[in-house]
Amino acid sequence: MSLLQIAEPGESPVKAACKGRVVGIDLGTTHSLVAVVQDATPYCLAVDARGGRLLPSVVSYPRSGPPLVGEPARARAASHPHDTIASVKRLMGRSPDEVAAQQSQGRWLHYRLGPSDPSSPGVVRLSVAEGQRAVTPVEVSAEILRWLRLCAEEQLSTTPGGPDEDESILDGVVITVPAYFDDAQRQATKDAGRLAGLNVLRLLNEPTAAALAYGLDRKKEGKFAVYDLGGGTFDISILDLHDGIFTVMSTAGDTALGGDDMDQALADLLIASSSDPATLRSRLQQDAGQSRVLLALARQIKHQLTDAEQATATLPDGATVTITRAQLELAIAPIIARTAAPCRRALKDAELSPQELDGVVLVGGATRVPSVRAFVAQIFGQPPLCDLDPDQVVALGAAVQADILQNARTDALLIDVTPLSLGLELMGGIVEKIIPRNSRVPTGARQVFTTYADGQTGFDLHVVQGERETAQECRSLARFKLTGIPRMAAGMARLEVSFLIDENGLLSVSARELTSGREAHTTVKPSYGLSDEQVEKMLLDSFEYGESDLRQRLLITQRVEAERILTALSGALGRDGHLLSEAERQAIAAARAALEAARQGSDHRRIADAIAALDVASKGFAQRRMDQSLSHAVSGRAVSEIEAAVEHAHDIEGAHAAMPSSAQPIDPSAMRGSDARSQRE
Amino acid sequence: MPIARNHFEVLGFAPTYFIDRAELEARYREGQRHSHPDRFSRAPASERAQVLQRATDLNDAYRVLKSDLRRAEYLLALRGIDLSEEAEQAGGKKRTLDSLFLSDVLELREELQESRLRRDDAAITRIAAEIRSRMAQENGRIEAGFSRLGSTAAGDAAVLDGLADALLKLRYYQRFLDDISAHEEATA
Repeated sequence: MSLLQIAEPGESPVKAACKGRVVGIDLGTTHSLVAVVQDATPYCLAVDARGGRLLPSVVSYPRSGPPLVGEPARARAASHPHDTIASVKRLMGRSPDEVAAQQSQGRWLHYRLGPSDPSSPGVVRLSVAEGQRAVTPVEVSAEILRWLRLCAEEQLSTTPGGPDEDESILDGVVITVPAYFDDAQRQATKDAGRLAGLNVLRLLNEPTAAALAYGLDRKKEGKFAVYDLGGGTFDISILDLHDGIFTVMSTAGDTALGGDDMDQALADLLIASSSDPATLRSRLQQDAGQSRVLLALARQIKHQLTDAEQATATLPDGATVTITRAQLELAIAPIIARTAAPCRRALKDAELSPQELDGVVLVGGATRVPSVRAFVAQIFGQPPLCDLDPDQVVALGAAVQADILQNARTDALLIDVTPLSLGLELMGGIVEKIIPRNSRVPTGARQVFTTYADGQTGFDLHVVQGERETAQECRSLARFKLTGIPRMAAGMARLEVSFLIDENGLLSVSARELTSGREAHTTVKPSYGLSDEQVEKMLLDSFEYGESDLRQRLLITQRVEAERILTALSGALGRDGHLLSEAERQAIAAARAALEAARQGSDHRRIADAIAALDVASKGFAQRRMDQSLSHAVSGRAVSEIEAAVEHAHDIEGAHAAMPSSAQPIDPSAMRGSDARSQRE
Repeated sequence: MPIARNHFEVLGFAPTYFIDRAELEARYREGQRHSHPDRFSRAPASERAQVLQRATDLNDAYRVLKSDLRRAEYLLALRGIDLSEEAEQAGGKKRTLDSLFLSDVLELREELQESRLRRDDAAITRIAAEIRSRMAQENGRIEAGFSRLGSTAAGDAAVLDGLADALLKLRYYQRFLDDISAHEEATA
């Protein structure tokens, strides 16, 4: 970088300082977002043709060809339930046994576990593409990240027509993770980033990211709790904001608790309210597609009950049920109650009483549920702050952190903690804690071991994370094999092992023999993760659908999307054409013809524009159809029809935002609206 | 090989028990502002490794100096009195606590056990309060001991022994309290 580089007026210093750009990514259970800082303001980039900011974290693998990501993938959930992976974040860094346990606990996780690879039995593999492929959760997440990367490159490129094939304009990314993620889950996230061809500058804890967006925005000082209830994870963090330094005082949480669980509970309630629960339940067990539809229906009802006192739906067996908000609250109360213990623990670890907090910030879509807000108010003895969009705030904070790193900004600094104690398994399976939870990172510990047999040259160490007394009850991170210790009598060799948790919360281990000063060799065998070699191999394999044909993929995705919308529209016109005025009918016909024409071409932007135009033309129609099907549920209607109408109406909602080719900072006042707004999932 | 700085040196304090909390916070923040790895995300790998070590030293020093108990233990360790269990196992001098103290704590343990069986939360709270008041007493002894260091005609040996005794008792009490709260967490 030249010292004489001067920013041109109007040009952002980011661009002047370095060739690439940096972005922040919120890789969420239900949604993912990508955000960037421009002119000192963070904003979210569009992630679909209609300018929506929330990318459904869904990947669907067709029998052949590249996977679909986002809305087009979600649209295949009912028809291809096993090839369509949603909520993959729940599987990151998990063992096959843990995933099987999740499934057997009655959770409707529609994954089909593939055959495990004998070389890494601890790695989960999902059978997709009608059994033609087996993918790891890391690869599925990488597809989502790759898509976000593509969107960001499109919009940040200064060259018209998108970036050149070989020019990467993304210099680095910050990816957020739940604060309570353990080392294996973090490592898996970082691997996914690498696999997506991203330079991961930093993994950032989600509540910390939220605080950064919130605190910098408001120039706040004081102590804050961030209550983050997302689709699949719960985090509570307590932070001290002081003079531009954000210090995390404590963190606690549950990596398998979120809005998804509410949908499950509500779906169970719907089944129980049907005319013949037993028959319906067994039908859903056999038909994964139908159960996905029921889950989507449950989610819609949950959203409606944020504002309405009751909602009506038609079940797959034709029965019409009405659910009141009180019923919903009763069904989800046990889920919300599970957040209480982590909140109390975080307060205790921070040595604070609720009255000493200057505010409680809400993050995550599930915090829109009124009874969640009431619960938070009760636990912390004060009404929560919700003036930032809980869906976007994490991504915005990640973008701010990326900007801080890229420009070595000194006005803000994050000091985070490690969420779980790090320990070593001793003889008898007892755990000795070497780094206590809530230690500020980076942090280290040293332990000296000695040999117990004459001439012993190696040593095995089992590293675990967790708060329990025995290794079995903690989470196994890795087994380290130390070799190359000089031959000595038992008890003579003194082996010093150093553990380091870096600023990302990632662990590394090194060892030295003290009497000889020799470095001992360490081999890491992650208990559930991928080895470096495996990630490398995947990276090579990914070129199959890789970097060169991203543009082609964009085109294919847009075509699939166009086809889906056209099919849905034909069906809707056939059934509900009577809801249209003549003028509307003509406008829709024209927009439809334009999309048909664009679909034949090879310009993905033109297809995107045509989709958006059609959405605008049919907005009123979609709204009326949704009103018709949901408020006065017509008995006997197939639920998939209602689903389609709801989908359609939601597609339209997205169309109001800016188009991807003209990415503008979104209006901050719109972003912060905490008033009654419908939610998009 | 560079000699590792002790925790007091890392934060620029003289090795004393009496540390100003606000000053500790201020120095820690200033240190991190200059040596947190986030400030060097673009630096070459070798420089980053150094920075990481510096930031780690700062955090570890802060953790020890912030806590009265850890700071006191560390001060004794600097004077060659290692109270860690590791040192005991490695053949160090085994310090024993007076039998009166031990039987007393044992009695409290039994009381706690019975209260748990009875699910008598009020009694458990009372026991915790009793432990805290005893800890305050031991803390007073520690404070007094450290202020006498280097000022008695008989030398520091007796004072240091008293400090070690108070610290070991504190540790006992602390474990007792941790046990109570762990149980609360598990049953909540």
